Amino acid sequence: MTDQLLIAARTAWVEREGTVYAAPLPDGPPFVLAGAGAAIWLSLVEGGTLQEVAQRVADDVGSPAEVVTADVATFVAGLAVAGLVVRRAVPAVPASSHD
Amino acid sequence: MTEVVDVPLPVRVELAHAAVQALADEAGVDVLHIKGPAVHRGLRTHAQSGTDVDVIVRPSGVDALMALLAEHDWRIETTFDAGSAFDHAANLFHESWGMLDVHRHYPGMDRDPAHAFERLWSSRGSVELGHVPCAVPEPLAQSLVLLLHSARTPHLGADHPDLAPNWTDRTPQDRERIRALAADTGATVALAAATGHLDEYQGDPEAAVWEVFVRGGDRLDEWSARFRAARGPRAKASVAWRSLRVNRYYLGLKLGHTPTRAEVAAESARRVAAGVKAVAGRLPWR
Repeated sequence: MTDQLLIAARTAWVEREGTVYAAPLPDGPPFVLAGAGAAIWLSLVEGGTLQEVAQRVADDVGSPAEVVTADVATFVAGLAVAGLVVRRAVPAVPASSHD
Repeated sequence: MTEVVDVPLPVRVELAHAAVQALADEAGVDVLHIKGPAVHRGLRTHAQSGTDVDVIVRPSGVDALMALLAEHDWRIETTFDAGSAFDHAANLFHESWGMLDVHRHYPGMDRDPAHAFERLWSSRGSVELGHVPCAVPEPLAQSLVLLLHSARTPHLGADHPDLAPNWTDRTPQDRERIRALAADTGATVALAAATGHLDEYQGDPEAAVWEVFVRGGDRLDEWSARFRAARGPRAKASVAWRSLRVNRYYLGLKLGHTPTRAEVAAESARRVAAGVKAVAGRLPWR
């Protein structure tokens, strides 16, 4: 099994001038995600594993994935506590299935 | 990640639309989002992002939505019958989202609110607000809603800024379709008020109500017109009673604190006295 990260279904968010404002619905409150926080959020939009999200962030900020992964993991954990992100366990795809 | 204390107002309003939609979904109640970011871009004027959320609720679902809003810490600031002379909207406030106007009907379309809502709902579109799908009236119906609103908020010395994109600049075919929609929702007279054709309805009791907004008048004029327009003794009695009621919310704003019973009673007496004085001032023998 592998953990897929997804923006929670009951979440509203708006991006303005590089800053993301995200809120759990229906009660809020809104959170502001600026700078790297916004980059991580926008990398989460299409979902994926932590490694995939970290790779997108790394590509976005121009750093190696191994440098940003720990920070991305910590930030994503905070988003999960706030109810903005959920983890969904899905069966790992066997390498042979790509053949 | 920082909990926001300074979310820009347009962003907060857009997120608030999404929050209200989430509760409407939970309650199973149909709502149409109007004004502010719900309005089609081409129909907006100036920096019309709005300062609050406005929704029209299917009348049969109003009680259920209001109950769920209360459960989720939306505080009622003014009740439906304590706001305008139209009795159309309740104003609510939420610490996270700000202000919300829940319309149980829309001024001008208030003769048969259930039919008017169904007419708007049947041709609705959808717009994503805060990445949440929200139902909105189709663009022509949005124009009608904005025009009816403009009729209640006259711009002295100039046309209301909503008039050009929603009426003057529209094609003759569009204007005809808006007229047809107004006829179907009971808003013909109100639309005439918005577009400068109220004279065509002289003598119509409903026109008298809109005359107050278009030509100007005080609260006594407004209530008098509402009284004349009300259909039947019960409706007239209701208007007369409500004209004398004290709006606790506005009185609280004036006083700077929640009014006491004594202060409400004093304000009530003042309103009656002011009403008598205003009426007396208009008697022909004075």
